[in-house]
Amino acid sequence: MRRGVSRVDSQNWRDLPPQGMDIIAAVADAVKSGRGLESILDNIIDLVLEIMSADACSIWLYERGALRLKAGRGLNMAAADASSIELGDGVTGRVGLHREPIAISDVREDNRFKPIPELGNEAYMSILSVPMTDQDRLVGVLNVRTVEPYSYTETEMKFATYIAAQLVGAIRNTQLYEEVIKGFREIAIIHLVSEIINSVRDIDEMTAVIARTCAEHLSTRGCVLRMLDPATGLLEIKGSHGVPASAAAAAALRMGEGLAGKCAAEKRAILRKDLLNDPGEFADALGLGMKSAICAPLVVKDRVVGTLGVFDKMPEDGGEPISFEEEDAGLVTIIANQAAMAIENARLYAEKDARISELQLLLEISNIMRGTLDFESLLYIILTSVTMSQGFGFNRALLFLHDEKSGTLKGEMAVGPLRAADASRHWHSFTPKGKTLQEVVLEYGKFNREAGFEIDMLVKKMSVPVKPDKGALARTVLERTSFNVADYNPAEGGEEAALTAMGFSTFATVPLIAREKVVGIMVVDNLVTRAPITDEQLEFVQLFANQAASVLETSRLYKNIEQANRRLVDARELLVRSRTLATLGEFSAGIAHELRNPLVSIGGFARRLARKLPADSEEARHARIIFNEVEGMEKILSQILEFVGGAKTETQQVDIIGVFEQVFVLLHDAINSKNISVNTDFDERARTLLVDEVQMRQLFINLIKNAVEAMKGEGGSLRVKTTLMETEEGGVGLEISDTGVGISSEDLEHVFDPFFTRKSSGTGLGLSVCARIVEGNHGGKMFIDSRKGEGTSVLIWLPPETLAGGEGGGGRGPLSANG
Amino acid sequence: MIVDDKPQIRDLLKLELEDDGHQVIVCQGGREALDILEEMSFGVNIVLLDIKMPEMDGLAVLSAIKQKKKDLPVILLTAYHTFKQDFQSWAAEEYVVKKSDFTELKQKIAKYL
Repeated sequence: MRRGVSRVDSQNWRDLPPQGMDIIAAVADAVKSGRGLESILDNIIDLVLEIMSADACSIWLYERGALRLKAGRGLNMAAADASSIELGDGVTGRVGLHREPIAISDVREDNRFKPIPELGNEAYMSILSVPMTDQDRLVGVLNVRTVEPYSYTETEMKFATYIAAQLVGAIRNTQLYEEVIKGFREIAIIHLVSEIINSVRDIDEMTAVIARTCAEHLSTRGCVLRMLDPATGLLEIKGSHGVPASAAAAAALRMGEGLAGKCAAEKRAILRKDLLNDPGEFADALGLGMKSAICAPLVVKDRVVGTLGVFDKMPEDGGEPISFEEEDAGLVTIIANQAAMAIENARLYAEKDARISELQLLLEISNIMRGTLDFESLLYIILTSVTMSQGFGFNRALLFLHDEKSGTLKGEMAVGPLRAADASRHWHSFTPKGKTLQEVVLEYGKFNREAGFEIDMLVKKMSVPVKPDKGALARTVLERTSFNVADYNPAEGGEEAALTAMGFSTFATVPLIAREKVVGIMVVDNLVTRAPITDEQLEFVQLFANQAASVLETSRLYKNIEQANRRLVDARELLVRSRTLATLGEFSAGIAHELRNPLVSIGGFARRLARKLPADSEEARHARIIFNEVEGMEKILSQILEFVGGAKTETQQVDIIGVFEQVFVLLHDAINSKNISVNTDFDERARTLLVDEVQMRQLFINLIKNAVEAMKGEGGSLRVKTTLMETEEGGVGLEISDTGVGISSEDLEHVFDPFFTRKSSGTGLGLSVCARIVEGNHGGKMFIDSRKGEGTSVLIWLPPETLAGGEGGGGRGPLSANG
Repeated sequence: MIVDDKPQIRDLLKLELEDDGHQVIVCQGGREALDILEEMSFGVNIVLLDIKMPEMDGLAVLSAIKQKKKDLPVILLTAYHTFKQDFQSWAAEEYVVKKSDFTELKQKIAKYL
């Protein structure tokens, strides 16, 4: 049994005429034959007219509070749209109200009938009116009419009721079908849209695809996708369809502005059915003369990121646009949700992708950095990586190293133009096409090194104390965090004033942290491009900075080890040499002593004999032979002993800073055991001097020993300084200062006297020997400045002749002890 | 005054200096020299001091002399060539390497007399 006839009451089967089954089949055919509700209703009406031999038939459906004529024969259907019957009004209205059939054989005799002249229904005398109900809900009313008066039989009334029931079923099925079809269509569209959307990875391509897909599958004249730019707060068109490019480019909206702005601000879909007559808040930003539009927000994690709008629904058969309905709004909302998710995914993917390439970059640079342990090369690699476009792409970068002992940040190196105008000169001279990152870093680093940037010289002069009130650079060290600084204005004349001179006003600082220690900081800016530095960028640079710091620290440790190692080798060589010399010297001196005295006696007496005897005697001649031979032997002896070390002051080119460093190695234990801090300030210009190295070493040992011994107890500071004198006199100044007990003014007069001492041990010859080395042997001067309880400074001046490579020769040269 | 533990050298020097017209006191060790200086310092104008002596080292004698008589010139006589690095010796006015030719020594003595 087909569903369509199941509602017939089984007990009435027998009452049906013999052709009943045929009729039922015919009704069923009529119900299912139609394409759409209208054709079903028409088929039913035709069937009713035929079976009941009626003259007119009409079907009224209950919609929007009234019965409206949907299909009919024998009536003026042109007026159908305009006609409606209120419930309770006339025969049809009463049937609808009471849901009971009414049969009238002649309406002229029944005041319940109301003619509707425009339909021409007064042409019919009889009426059979049956309600169409679905459970208790009124669906509509079915009317059957004849021209002549006619009394409807019980069977005919039952048939009409049956038809009415069939109609209800058919209508419900059709509606269901249409809903299902529409649902399928929606699902199909959503599925299609989301499939298309998700097939795209590139975010720009995706927004374009969303707009096109949405317009095509919702059959709209156009579609506009806007994304909210968090920086500007503008809703910018990122994808559109059916909108001229010129209009799309210029139509950014603020939040709350226009349909999209309102939609985004209120975070809900907005439907406008008739924009031409009721524009409301809508301003046609695109100037397209839209008739109706829907706009839905793109929401990600409860946050509006954009809007999706469609305008002007186009009917399938072409022609004028029709109005959107609520269900369209629902569909757009669903697609908007899909789109939002897809865009977010694409964004996340892009971010992840960027992250991966960021990590890739970090890895590559890190590999390059690990390729060298040379400190200066590393600094160049770091600054180059930060400034080149394949790296982090900052315009300029400064690097400061943190000296923990002195608590200062010292400018170490800088890369980039000093002024924006210099940028092209610096940047165009290097083209990194078709090279690997490593090649670029190394070549660009070399280029940077050779470029000799002006800011490099400026930054090298900077020294910033690391104290809480000392500004952004110091804070970066103290707080161990990066800063994004805008419109920075350091104290005038302060340590950071050079930043202003170099044009650093908007910049970022990044600490270089390794093993919990702030090794230094970097300062980066975009002087030329003026691009803002984002937090993400800063975070990424921080990642790099940590890596760079650890490599730098490793290199620094390595450098220290290497230096210590070299010092050790030097000291050992010195020790070996001096020990060898000492052994040789002792041995030779032993022989010399043993031989010299007898030779002096032999030679001396022979000389006497030669003098006392008559000069031309044979004896005198023999005596002369003896003392000449002795003199020859003495000369040989002297030559041997001169190799061990002559008695003269022997000047030669001596690395005076190196001598100081050797002395520090020798006295290392004494200095360290008292926890004395050593502060050296050597003038490279006065490194090589024409002096006696052995005497200088002894001089420094004496002075530094004195200084160390003067500092009782723990702590204290020893300062050693060499300077090329800028005075007219010229020469070289050496200064050795301590924070020891000092010397009283009365003692100060006697310090240069031999054997004067206030020390419990020692010979008291120290300072007199020093004075002799400086003044007697090198033509210099020596002063002592001391205050009891505050410390002592020994000042030594060596004449200009000691400067190797100076004029030399003339003037007062270094003196000989034997002179 | 000549201080030297070796009699041949002592005698030779005495003869040479007396030939030049100097009055010479000879001592065979540091202790003796210091005692004499203590007693009769007035007559001594210059001391010729050998460094290597068994009883008392010449440099110790030098220290003792300089502590008492800062202005008394001392000429160190040595067979060594290495005393430049021994800074105690620098308290002496001069040092002379012993040679059979006394010309250099005599010139230096003349500087102080």
